Amino acid sequence: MSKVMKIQGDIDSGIKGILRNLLESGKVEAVFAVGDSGDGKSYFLVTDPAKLDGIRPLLPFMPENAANLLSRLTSGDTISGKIAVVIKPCELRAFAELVKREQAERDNFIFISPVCGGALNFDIYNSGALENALPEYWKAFFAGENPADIRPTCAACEHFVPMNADITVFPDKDGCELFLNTDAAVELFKNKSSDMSEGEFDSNRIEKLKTARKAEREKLFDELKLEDMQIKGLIDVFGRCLGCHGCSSVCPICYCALCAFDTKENEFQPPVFENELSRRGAMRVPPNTVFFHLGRITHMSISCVGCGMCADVCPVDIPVASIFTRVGDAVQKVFDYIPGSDFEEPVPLSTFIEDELAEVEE
Amino acid sequence: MTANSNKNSTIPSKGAAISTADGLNAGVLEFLRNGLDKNLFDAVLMPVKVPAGDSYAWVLAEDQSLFEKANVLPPIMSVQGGKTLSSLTKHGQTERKIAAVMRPCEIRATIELVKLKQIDLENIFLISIDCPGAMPIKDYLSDPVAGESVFNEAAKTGDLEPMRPICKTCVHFGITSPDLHIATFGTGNESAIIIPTNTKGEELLESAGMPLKIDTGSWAKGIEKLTNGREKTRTKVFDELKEKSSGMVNLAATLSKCISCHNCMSVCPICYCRRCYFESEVTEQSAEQYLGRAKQKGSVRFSPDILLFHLGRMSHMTMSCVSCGSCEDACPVDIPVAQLFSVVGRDTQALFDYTAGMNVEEPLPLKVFIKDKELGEIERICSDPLKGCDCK
Repeated sequence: MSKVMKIQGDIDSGIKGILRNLLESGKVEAVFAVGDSGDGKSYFLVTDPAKLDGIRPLLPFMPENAANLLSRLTSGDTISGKIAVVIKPCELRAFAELVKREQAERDNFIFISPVCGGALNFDIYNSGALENALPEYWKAFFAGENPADIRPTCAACEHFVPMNADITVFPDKDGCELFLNTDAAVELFKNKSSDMSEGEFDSNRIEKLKTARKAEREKLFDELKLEDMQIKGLIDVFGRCLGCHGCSSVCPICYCALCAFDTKENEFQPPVFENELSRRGAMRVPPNTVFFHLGRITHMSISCVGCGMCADVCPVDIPVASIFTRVGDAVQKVFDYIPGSDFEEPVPLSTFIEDELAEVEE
Repeated sequence: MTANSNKNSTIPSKGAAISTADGLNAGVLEFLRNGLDKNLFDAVLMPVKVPAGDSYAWVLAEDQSLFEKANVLPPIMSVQGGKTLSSLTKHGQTERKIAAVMRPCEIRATIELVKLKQIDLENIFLISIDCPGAMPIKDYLSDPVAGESVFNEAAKTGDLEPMRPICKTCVHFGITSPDLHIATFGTGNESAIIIPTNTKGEELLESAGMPLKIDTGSWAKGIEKLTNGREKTRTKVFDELKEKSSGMVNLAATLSKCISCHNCMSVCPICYCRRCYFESEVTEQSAEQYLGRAKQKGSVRFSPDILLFHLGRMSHMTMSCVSCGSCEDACPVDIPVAQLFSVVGRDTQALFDYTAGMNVEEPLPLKVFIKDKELGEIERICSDPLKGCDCK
């Protein structure tokens, strides 16, 4: 049971009112949330309450994975004042992974995260239909169903209830419920304790969506047929890759300043390709297309949160997010690990328990 | 001031015949097979359909079995050819003789990369083909089979409709600066003309036993006419875009959807830096600095510094931009980056009377300095700085 606050009316303006209050009262120094940016959407760090007008805290769209941005924000030093951060559950999980990997600082962030219906995909965004898709989106979500035109990995996401959020937002047709999960959250609203009650989620809606997501996940994984792929299947899937590495640059987990696959070691010295050419008769140039993706999978799959950014930025529509989520699922199960579920639990590959993995070692 | 490279490349008056009775692709591939058989070169670099059949990849082949799936003029530009050649020779020259068949803008990127010391042309034969344009990758991918026929039909009739916006404004679709150029526009269904532009090209054709018997005059006239028409479209489209995107506010609006993935940069043949300055620690700030910036204006966008990145990239590559359109094909949020960069490239290159990729001998403008002669018109000397004068 958590403390619950109810806000009536339009979802976005309700949350915005709270954010404005927090800023104006000086309880937080800044707000970090998604909003309108010219013709597009992007995240903003807002300090002036007047600038909250263009903020759309619960907009079901992810222009960038916020974990990347919060990592950038805290890479130099920790922040002194409190910042209220409104991000999606998978962004918060990716952020936790980055903290564990020493790429971000958690201190002084108040995390506000909604029960998430999924992010609308870039096709909808690019066609200019994002705003028009919202009424149907919310209608489906309120009914405990998967909205149309969300990312495939969102439709298959079972972790849509935020973990580690100070405040969980549960949007409903006539407003939102705010669950204050931590002392820090309760502290922010202590003067409003009269508006609070004790409560829990509408578990029916959550369970209904969970069932839909589970079915969608099984379907997605079945359709991929990853087990049967072999090298030929991988070549078919990744054959059209342009080598832009956009998937890696938007990935919150791929934080390396210089990817191993972009180093000189991964490039041809003329004698090397000349030998390859003699040996094989023909070769693809630039080299190592499938190798790059397999390499990236081994580096990030244990921490992959299935946010779906990689697939949305792929210029040739390779279902990278679905593949990586599928592989992540398998790898994470081996270590009984849910990335981002716990800030304290070490990343499995950074620990070694002598008698672990005996079943695969024989 | 450097010589105008655009106009000094006089088109050679003679070329050799390539039979295209079975189609252009078959004719060019026959020429390449012949070259391999006669050991004029050891390998061919060309676009080959990927195994899934939904795209093309560059393949370096000495084995001719892959020729079956080759397409010397595919509907799309997957990886820019200049970038591809760079991945082979950036660490030094190859001992194998390689014939590379590319689009004219890929040849031009190659020439710029030679000047930037990212390609070694020793033992490489550059061969280009009259270019009908390329389709947007996403359009092609939505139905590769239909894409093939749409492209082939449009290529035959000179229809630019299905091509990328940047291709519709291209004025360098004919001969640029290869060793050999294959002229197809208006040469009829039966044959194309392969034209040598230098002694390397001439010697290759001579060894191939291909006499220079065909007059290029009427083809060149046709190209000139097409170019003149295209110049008009280009001026109109570019001027409109310039109007729409000029000044900080308009430019910021044009780029407002940018998500900082830097795909535009990573597919750009000219952006060859291993680590971009704009991805280095130098451009990172502390939380206090970001908060300070937010407080100045009330809020700061995240990712920050979108304009800085694009303007920075522009200032780095604009002089060598060949308007190939790869950046726009790779942009996940449909920003017209190629057109934007092409407009700027046109104007910056005009300032130095330079056209990227037309002449390998001509130095990059920013690498030479001609005292007293260069850029006088924008430098204005202040006659008396203390008193002040009329310079602004």
